Amino acid sequence: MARRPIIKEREALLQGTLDLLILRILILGEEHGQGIARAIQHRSSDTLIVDHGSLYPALQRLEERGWIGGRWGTSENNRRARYYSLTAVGRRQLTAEADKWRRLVESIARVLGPGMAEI
Amino acid sequence: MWTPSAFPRRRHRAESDFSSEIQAHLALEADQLVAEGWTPADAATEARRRFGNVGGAQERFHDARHIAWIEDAARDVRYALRALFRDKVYLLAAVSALGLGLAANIAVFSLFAAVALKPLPVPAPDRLVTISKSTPTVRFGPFSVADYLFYRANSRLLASIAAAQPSHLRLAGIAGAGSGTRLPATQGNVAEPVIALFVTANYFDTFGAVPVAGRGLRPEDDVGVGSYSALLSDNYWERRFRRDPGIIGSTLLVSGIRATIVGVSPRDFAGVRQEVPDIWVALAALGDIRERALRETAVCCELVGRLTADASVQRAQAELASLAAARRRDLPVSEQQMKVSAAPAISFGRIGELVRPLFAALQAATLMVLLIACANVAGLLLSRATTREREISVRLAIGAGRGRLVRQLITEGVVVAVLAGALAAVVTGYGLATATRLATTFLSRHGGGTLALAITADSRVLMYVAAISVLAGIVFAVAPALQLSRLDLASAFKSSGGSPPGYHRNRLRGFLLAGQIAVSVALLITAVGLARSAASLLQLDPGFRSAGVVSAWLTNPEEIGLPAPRAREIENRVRARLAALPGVQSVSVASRLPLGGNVTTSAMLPAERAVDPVSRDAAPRYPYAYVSEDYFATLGIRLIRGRSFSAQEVREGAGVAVISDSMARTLWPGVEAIGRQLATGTARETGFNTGARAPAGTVEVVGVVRDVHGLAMATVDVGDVYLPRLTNGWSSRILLRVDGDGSAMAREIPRIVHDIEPALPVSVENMSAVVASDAGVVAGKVGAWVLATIGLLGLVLAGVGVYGTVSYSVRHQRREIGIRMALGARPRQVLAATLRGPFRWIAGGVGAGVLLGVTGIKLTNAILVGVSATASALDPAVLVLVPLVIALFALSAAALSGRKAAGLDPAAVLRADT
Repeated sequence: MARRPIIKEREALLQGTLDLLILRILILGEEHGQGIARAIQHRSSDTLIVDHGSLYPALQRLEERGWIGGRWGTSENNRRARYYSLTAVGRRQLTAEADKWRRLVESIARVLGPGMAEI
Repeated sequence: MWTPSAFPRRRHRAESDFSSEIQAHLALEADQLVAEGWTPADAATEARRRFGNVGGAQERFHDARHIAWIEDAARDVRYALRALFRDKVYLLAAVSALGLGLAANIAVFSLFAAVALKPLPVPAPDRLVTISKSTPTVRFGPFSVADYLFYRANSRLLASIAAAQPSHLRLAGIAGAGSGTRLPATQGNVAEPVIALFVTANYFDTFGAVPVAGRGLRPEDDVGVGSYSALLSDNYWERRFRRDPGIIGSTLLVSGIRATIVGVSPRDFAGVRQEVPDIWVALAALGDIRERALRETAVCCELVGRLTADASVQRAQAELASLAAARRRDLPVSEQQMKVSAAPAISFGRIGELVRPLFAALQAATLMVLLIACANVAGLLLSRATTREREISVRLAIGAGRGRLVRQLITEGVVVAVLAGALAAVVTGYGLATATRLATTFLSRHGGGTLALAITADSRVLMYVAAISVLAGIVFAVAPALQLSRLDLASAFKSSGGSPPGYHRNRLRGFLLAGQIAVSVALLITAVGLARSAASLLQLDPGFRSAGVVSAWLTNPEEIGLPAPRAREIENRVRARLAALPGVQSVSVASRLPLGGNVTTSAMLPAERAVDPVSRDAAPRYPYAYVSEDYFATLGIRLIRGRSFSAQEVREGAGVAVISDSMARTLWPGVEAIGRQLATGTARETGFNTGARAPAGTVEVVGVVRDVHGLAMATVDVGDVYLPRLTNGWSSRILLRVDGDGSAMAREIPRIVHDIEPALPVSVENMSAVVASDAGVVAGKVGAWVLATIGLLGLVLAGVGVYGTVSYSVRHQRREIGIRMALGARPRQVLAATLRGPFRWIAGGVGAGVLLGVTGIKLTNAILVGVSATASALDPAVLVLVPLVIALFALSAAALSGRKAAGLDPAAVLRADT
């Protein structure tokens, strides 16, 4: 009975932000799915745990939109993997999305106020 | 974002490509974990654990794809088929129950589409109106020729008005166009019955019907010249002449009329008649119409008009009403209350109008049956779903999305519905084709004509089938699907079966069960009532005895070119030879037969009241017939008082008459009719056809005979007048009373006639067959068949429903039953407990059904009034027997599935409970 709502919650949490994070990681160069997941975890000091069930659909979605491109390549330890890279459209999108995100965070911080941050 | 450059990237990835990407992810993750110090085996497990739901990711990837739903649907259908074929009994029950329910619906709808929704096959059919005359006694009656000319001359809103007079004729011969050689009409030179429509020259133009071969009628065809123009209908042209173009230009000999075929009318064009006539003959063939307008007042013709471009039906109606007011001044007293009305012309004429309410009722009944079928299939699905709870729980547990599961179940429903729809299409296609063929054969055997019932799978019917089956599938699948999808995993695993679902659902099913039983009972009661009324029409004493009477129709020998003396000789020799045959009890001649159609009527009143032309004009009309001296003996019509005719009176056509009992009492109430003078005919009237000129004068009543049912089996004639004359006109018949049933004699007569004159067309009919084809008898029989079929269908479905319901509740109560039996309950007690619930619903349904059935009988009586006056009686035997049989049937269905409960092994139930 309880299964479906939980999934929905998670998706809601990550929707948008996951896309932004993926784009942000890819600005450093092309990377495969597992690498992206690890990079997000690493750069967030292991605070953000990427749900892989959401990662691949997100990659799929971004590729469909033309923000990233995918191709099969070989990893440094000689494994075939699908590498993703940012397209020109994706780059513009990242700038826009990042600005939007910063504005959002600032606004929320202002609403919460300094004292509230402790809670 | 939809830039062209973005386009090439938007290609679809194969599912396998996606899964190898995930495999790569797992491998890379494992590599990294090994690098972080995990053992390879643990790393692989951990990588998988961290990834989470591999199947879910893949499923969501799949769902995101554009064509995914098609693939899903295909897979769902494949899976549904597999699942369904695993349970063949269920499949068979569901498909046949739903299929039959659909079949009944489709059949009624196809018939409705073919009859009521069919536009007239002519250009701008909405501009055509039928015009009819109503008096307090006759609704939608025909007009006289004089009426016709009046409205045609005076209407300004109707661009043209055409008249048609239907008639049953006999095709006696065909003469070739050039050579003039006579061809036999058929093999064995048997005259064929044909349905003719005598029409004015503007008839085809009024409709806008263009002949498919040859020409139509021309204005000069309205003038009588001795040889008349005629058209064949395309249907008859094909059926009779195999579309031989050489037939155009040849001359037909039909019932004494010589008519030259000038063309062929379009296929299925029937004017506004219910049947396509075989031939169309210029109305002038019955007499020049201007001349007829002057001398006769008898009604004959149906009128149809085409509106002018700017006229509406309402305005035409208003105009006709004011014209009718003017017309009344020239009409007799009896027509002073007549009204003229116009209505949009529809296919099948009056029949088309009459069938609408009938079809509405039938459609309601069949929809009810379909609802029952849906309820039953839902019931079956529900009880099957109960046994599938485990399978479903497992699928849910291994991560199948609930949406997918619901979709899967609905797919199963739709698959069942589509299979059922296919079954229904086959059943109705076959059934309707058979019905049309039977109807056509019936028509051609009883007077020709074609039923233009093109009951084909037209797009409307197909759409109806598709919509109704898919809708049905979804309707009956949704409830169980929703129930299953709400399945609580934990409890489903703990015990399959579990506690019975909410009581309200059982109550709904109970109501459905009671409803379907009620409908079946009602339909069957009505059907049996109708069948009994049809049978009672046949049992009924019509005042004459049809068994053993054979009627032979002889072509007037003069019409095939034989000289008059030879003609007399042939007639006398035929009569003498027939009378001398062994087994022939009596021979007589009559201008027309009871129930034989082509009724001739004339105004009749006591001579002492016929003081002036006005009173004669206003006199009521009675049917009359010219008969020979042995007519009453031959037909077994009992003489009540007085005498029959003498042979000499018949030869001379003496001024005497025999009248029926009712007529004697009406004309001379309380006084002896014999010896009185009867005034016949109006001042300016002759009869409807050329051979039997109506009497105009005064005759003496010499005898009174029993009333007969001569116009329709259902009603006794208000009066009949018999006049003595040996007719040789085209409608005269020789009647024979023979030993036995007369079928041997029917074969013998043409042989004897052709022995005397090989070229003389003859046709023979058994009087019993004439009675059996009476409209009331046929309507009753057909109605009974239709209702009985729907009712039986409903009954079978009700049986399935009862079975499903009981087995459903038994399945849910297995645990309880097991405990009861373990505690010592006997199988009989268990069975009784199982049946207690269904019994209540069955009893309620049967009770409601009896009430509905009584209403049904009253309704059909109301619809068939006039066609079948012997109302279907509210026979107590029917009202008791039908419900009893159905109740027993339903109870045995319940008992059949209840026995399973009684046969349960308590130990096994309580221990395993799977």
